[in-house]
Amino acid sequence: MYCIDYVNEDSILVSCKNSKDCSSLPALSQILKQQLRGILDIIVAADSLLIVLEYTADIDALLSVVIQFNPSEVVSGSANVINIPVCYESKLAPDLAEVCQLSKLSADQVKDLHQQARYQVKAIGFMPGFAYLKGLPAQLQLPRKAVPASKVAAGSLAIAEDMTAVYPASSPGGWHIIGQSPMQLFNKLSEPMCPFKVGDEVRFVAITYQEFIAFKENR
Amino acid sequence: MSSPAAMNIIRSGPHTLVVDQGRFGYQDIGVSPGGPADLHAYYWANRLLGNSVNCAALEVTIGGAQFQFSHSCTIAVCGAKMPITVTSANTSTSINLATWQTIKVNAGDRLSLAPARSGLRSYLTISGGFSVRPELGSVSSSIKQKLGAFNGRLLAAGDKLEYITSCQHPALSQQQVPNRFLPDYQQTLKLALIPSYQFQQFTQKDIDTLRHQTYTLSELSDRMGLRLIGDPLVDIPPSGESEAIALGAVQVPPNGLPIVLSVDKQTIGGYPKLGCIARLDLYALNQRRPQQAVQFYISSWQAQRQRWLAFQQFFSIPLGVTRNA
Repeated sequence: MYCIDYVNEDSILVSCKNSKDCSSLPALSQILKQQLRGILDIIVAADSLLIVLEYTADIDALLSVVIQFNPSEVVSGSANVINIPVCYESKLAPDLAEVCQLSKLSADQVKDLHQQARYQVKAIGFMPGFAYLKGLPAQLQLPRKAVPASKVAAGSLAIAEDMTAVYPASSPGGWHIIGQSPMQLFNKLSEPMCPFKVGDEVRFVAITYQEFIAFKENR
Repeated sequence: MSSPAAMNIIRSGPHTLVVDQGRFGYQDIGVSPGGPADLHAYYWANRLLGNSVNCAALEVTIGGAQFQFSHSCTIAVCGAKMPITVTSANTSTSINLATWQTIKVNAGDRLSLAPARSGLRSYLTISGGFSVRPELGSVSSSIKQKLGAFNGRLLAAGDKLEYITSCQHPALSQQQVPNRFLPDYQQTLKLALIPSYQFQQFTQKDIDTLRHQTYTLSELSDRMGLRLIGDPLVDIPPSGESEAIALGAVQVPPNGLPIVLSVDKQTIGGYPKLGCIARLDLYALNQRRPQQAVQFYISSWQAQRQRWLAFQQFFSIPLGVTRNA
């Protein structure tokens, strides 16, 4: 069951509750893009998608596509898997000591737990290429920082609540930084500009500091 | 070969950007559309010159800018009330001009935009448009995303923007925006709220607080969001699953003071939202200064959709075709 909400003059929010409906949102987004004209943007998140329309778009046609969409007909193929190299060395992890203290885990345990988990892209936003990844092990789940850091480095690997993410560019940030990736997650000159799509699976691959430096020099 | 026609920036003012309608189609990877903070003034500035609706313009915030034109051209400035002076290259005489009209400029002339007396942002357009290479389908400057003209940065003295003289309309007569279309940026602004998102989760008491008070605009307002100061709402619903943010969304963080999300908004967020303010009210809000008064009223999607369609249809018809315009 999808709920439809007219959020502003030309934007329609489609939201859902059950997990099959939610996991079918990327498929619904594809169908809308294929079948309708006048779509400016579709933004998929964990339990909703927002459709931004040109003023000339046919809203009734859009509604009928959403109403006729049947999530049970969506064949869940194997998800794309994206491997992201990450260095968990303390010099690239300004909040690792605090995370260890709060979670009562050693640095190696934090790294192992984080690196062994499998994550799923639930939404992309906040800044270009910033993917909200779910699947963080319960032992690593901590509230956001009370006071956000005024600047985190580009590539910072962060955790907060039940999510992890890599900051594509330097920014203020309220998540805990436990490592850094040398990989570019948004590059306007490459195709695709961003490696992720909502629904993709993400795995983190631990690398040494030397490998981190070499990767950065060769990218 | 003679050098191409260009406008040189002699003084940029504190915050001058290149804009077109905005960058659409990339919000799914987190790219914010940007574009004019006031689409109404931007549309008029292009319309006066017979330009297409998406022609590149300069968004000059506050004012204090000066430009020099290498070749004769016709320009327009719409939006904030910035006193305009054109200084002739030949005679060194200056004339003072008003906004919301076309202005003929000769080769070598200097155009000055003094600090605005009311409003915040003016749009400078040129007949045929400025030639700027788009990035991701748009020339709109995005400082944070490093996208658009000059890699998204603020314009600075010494920058040049080329324009095409052959595209100009020599027969274009003097045009000005009729008085009835001119906005008054000094008035207390009434924002139409389209209830949506988590509106139903707010208490009636908080909705009454929202409707019955006069907020003032905070200094901490920019192209990303406009912060309002007033009596805070008290029963704020918890933050939910992150969801896409529509333009004009009214987000209520735990301190209970609404933030209206504007053209450079982030694409995703988790704070509860009351809905969105009407698009045309957002553009009017983007012309307000800190301390100016703002009120909300509850409207409907149908009413605001009609208002938006009428606005878009008006600007999609070229100037010569409209009656009495």
